[in-house]
Amino acid sequence: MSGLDQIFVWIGHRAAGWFPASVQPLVSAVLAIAGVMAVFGTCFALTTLAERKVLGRMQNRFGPNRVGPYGLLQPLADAVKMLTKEDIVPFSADKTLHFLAPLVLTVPVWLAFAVLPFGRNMSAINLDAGILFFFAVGSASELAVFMAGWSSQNKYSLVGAMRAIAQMISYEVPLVLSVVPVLMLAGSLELNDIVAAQGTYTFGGLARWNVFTPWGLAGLILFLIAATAESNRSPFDLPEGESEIIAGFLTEYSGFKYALFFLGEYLGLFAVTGLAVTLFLGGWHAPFQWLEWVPSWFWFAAKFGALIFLFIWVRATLPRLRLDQLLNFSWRFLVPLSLINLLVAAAWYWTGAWKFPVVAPIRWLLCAALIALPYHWLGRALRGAMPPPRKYIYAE
Amino acid sequence: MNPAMLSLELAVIGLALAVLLIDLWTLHEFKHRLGYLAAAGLLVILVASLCCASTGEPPATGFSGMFVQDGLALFFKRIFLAAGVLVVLMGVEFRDRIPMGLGEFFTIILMELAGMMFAASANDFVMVYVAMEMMSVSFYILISFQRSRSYSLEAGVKYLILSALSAGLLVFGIALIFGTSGRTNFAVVAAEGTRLAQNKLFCLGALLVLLGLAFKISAVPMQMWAPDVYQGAPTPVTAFLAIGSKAAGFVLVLRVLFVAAPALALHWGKLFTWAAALTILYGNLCAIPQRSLKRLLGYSSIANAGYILLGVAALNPPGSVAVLYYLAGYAFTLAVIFIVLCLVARDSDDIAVLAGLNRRSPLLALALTLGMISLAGIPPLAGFFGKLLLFKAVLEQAAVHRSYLWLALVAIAGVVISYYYYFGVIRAVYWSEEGPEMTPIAVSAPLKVSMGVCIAAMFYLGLCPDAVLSAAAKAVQALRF
Amino acid sequence: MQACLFYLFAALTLLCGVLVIANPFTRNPVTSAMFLVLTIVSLAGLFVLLHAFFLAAVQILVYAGAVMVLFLFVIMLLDLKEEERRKIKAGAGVLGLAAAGGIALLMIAVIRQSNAGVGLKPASAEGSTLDLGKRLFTDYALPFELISLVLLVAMIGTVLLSKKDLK
Repeated sequence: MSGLDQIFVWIGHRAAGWFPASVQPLVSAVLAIAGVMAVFGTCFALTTLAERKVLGRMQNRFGPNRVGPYGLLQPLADAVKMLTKEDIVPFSADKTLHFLAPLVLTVPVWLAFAVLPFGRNMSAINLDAGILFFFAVGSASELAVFMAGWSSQNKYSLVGAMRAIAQMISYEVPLVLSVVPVLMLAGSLELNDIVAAQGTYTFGGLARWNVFTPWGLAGLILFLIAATAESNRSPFDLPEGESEIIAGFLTEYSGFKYALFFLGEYLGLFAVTGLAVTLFLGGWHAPFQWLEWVPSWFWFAAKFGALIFLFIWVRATLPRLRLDQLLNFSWRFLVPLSLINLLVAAAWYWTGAWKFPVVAPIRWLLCAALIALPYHWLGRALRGAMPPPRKYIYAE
Repeated sequence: MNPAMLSLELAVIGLALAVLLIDLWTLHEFKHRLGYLAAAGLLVILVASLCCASTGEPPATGFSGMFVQDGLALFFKRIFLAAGVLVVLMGVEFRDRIPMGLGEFFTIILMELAGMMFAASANDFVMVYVAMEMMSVSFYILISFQRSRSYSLEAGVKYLILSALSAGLLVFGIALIFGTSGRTNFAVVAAEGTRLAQNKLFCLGALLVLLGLAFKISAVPMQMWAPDVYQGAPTPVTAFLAIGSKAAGFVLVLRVLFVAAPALALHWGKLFTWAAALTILYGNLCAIPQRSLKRLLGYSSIANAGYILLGVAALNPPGSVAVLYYLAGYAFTLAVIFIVLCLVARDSDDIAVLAGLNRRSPLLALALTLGMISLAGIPPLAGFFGKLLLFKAVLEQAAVHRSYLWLALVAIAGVVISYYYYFGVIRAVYWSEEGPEMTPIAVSAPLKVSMGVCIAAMFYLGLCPDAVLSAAAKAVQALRF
Repeated sequence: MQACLFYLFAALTLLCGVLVIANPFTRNPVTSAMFLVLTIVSLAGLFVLLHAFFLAAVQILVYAGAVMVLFLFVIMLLDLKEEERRKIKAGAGVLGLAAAGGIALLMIAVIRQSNAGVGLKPASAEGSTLDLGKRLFTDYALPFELISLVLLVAMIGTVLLSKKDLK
């Protein structure tokens, strides 16, 4: 079991072993960074292709199939196109900020991968406040979006940046709040501890992932919704709503800088997906005890891929929201619900001490009811708060 | 940890939250009743603090030494509660000039009050800061409450910026104190006082903390904001600033100086002498040309901060007793004056609005006159006896150091100057040309009662001060000299 | 290494801090805000050097991530041209410099005269999250809970002062 499981760790140790002992920590750090960048860089290329392919299938068309077999070389062609395009900077732009914005978006996002455990013994650093570090570096993306939108001196860019910031601030609250129950019950901010807390098995060898608890299920759904909004993906892609404001804060970007934004957004999605896997889906643990022989990194990759597919599926399915709907949805529905979820997690913790026959299903249903009822009421209140459907006078 | 210790504060906070919630189901035209509810609640709490609450003997500390309930804290809490009742009643009278959110107005006043009460019980620099922030944040909102009036907004912004500056100084000072002593608790810092007093960095920290507190009491060099903010703020809020905020600042000054750093206080007599003298001169001289009543009271409040600083500068128990006594009398005096201003100075607060007040409402004219006489320090009212005590405390120290004699002379000069503008107000009430507006002023029953109580309190404090003096003497036992 | 990093972050903090309020090249508020972000980030670096990872992360998350973004959101809606045209008055500049210089001199003199840090025990709490949490909920429980009231008041005030029409 350990051979294949620890193969990357082993390769790293061996490679670092070739260097003198004094520089070994540095070398192993560089190797870890290189590994993460290589894997997720490739992942970026593949995801752009997969997204177009899957979207194509869902919309009853082929998707890219001209470059290479099954269109597999399409990302390469895209890259060449992007890099050879002219880099245009508007005359009245704030040149420094315009230049810095894509960097501020892309560089911190890479840092977020430092704390994610990709497999057994496979996290770059064990940080005591790992999850906070993750969100801290993630908060740079809001600044980057502002810098891009404001420095372009273009009204569409500005509107796009305003929408993006309003959206990101609003959805950062439920994003972080939905994580808090996990931290409460794991008793740690360190991601490795959180994975370890989900590492035991219960009846039938089923894993004790957080998602199998009522608060974990609700938390995962809240987290995924907020994550979709944080990474500006459809149906929350108002900041780039091309039918209204061209490309939002990206309007004045072209060539390599545009590609960097693209890269940054996908990497942000990967990071937050990796976090969802770690927090709610048991990290690199196998779903059943008898599947433990499969390498841990495989399980991480499998869950990761499944969630990415989910994101693409959602994009193909749901239409874009309006801004007022978006903000109402966050402040009137997601935020209260994630606060209630905290109480449900507390209830789950306290009912853990109950001892009587068939306690497990009763406990589960009780906690599920505690979150399901507010879901129902908040949903009804939200519908009541929405303005009535618009009447189109001229376009009936 | 002993939550019962917080019962007064918790009651006020609970009242605030209750008002906030009931406001949700109250129709607009009945919202002023929330004010009566708040005032009644505060009155109950005040009475409870007078009879049932612990006497503060022996002093009890709790919450890891953060919070202390002793005679000093209780004395100030009673002043704050009484001021709170009066301010809330003023707020009810003021309701036609508050465009919206009357319920929230009362809520925030109550929260402010809770902040002041926590300040009175602070026994740790962290608590000092948190209580100060609670007061400041509430005042930002209260001062700019009339948001359609540009004066009110301007005052709010000025208070916000300068208060943030003073909070910055305070935090920096606390950081230096923490850095040199390793602790923030008053008792622990005081225990190492003699060693720390040698440390210049610690002295700088204490100095910065005192500067931050000087903002609250509007003493030189942090006095600039007072006139502008007093003028711009809604009148009940101005009253609360003048009564509550100043008293809270002084209780913190007393605690920091005589509980946390008694070893340092010994050397700082000169500093306070200068601060008191400059504050008295600045306030009194600048008040002379004022035509706006609230501005005039702003400068007068600076001058009064100077008088009260005399008691601090004396660095002896009689001085601190005088501080407590003076603040009690000052609260009732200002309450009367601001109640009159609430009723009279509706559209403008120029001194001309007082024209013919004695015919429009003899009661208000009398109340204002008595208030001004008390502020000026003329027997037999509270202000006189307070000043007498302060001067006596300073003159006792004159035997120790000559500079105190000069300080007393400056203070007396200040009092003489202040006669000019205080009697200017009285002259405007009785001996001025008739104003354009000569309709009689109706005074609601609760305000009549509260004015009566305040005037009675002014006479009581001035004529038989023994009860309050003995209470103050017991209260200052918490301090070390 | 540690000392080098300390001086680097300290210098960056000071330099960016000065550039926030007194940038000689531009009076653009966005530039100021950007330098404020840099100040906050370098301050977080200082926290990291003290092994206070929790504080460092919170510093960036709250200040750079939330507070500054809200600042920028407001700045974005302002007319910046007018602000840029405004010049600092010479008198105010001289007085401000004199005051700042005086305080700086005082600080330097005081620090040179005092034996700062001598005789202090090392801080009893490491920067770890667990210790910090325990401290907050035991020794500092009262001020910690009071802060929530301050936030409540601030929230009520914000709604009141910014809402369009409230009856």
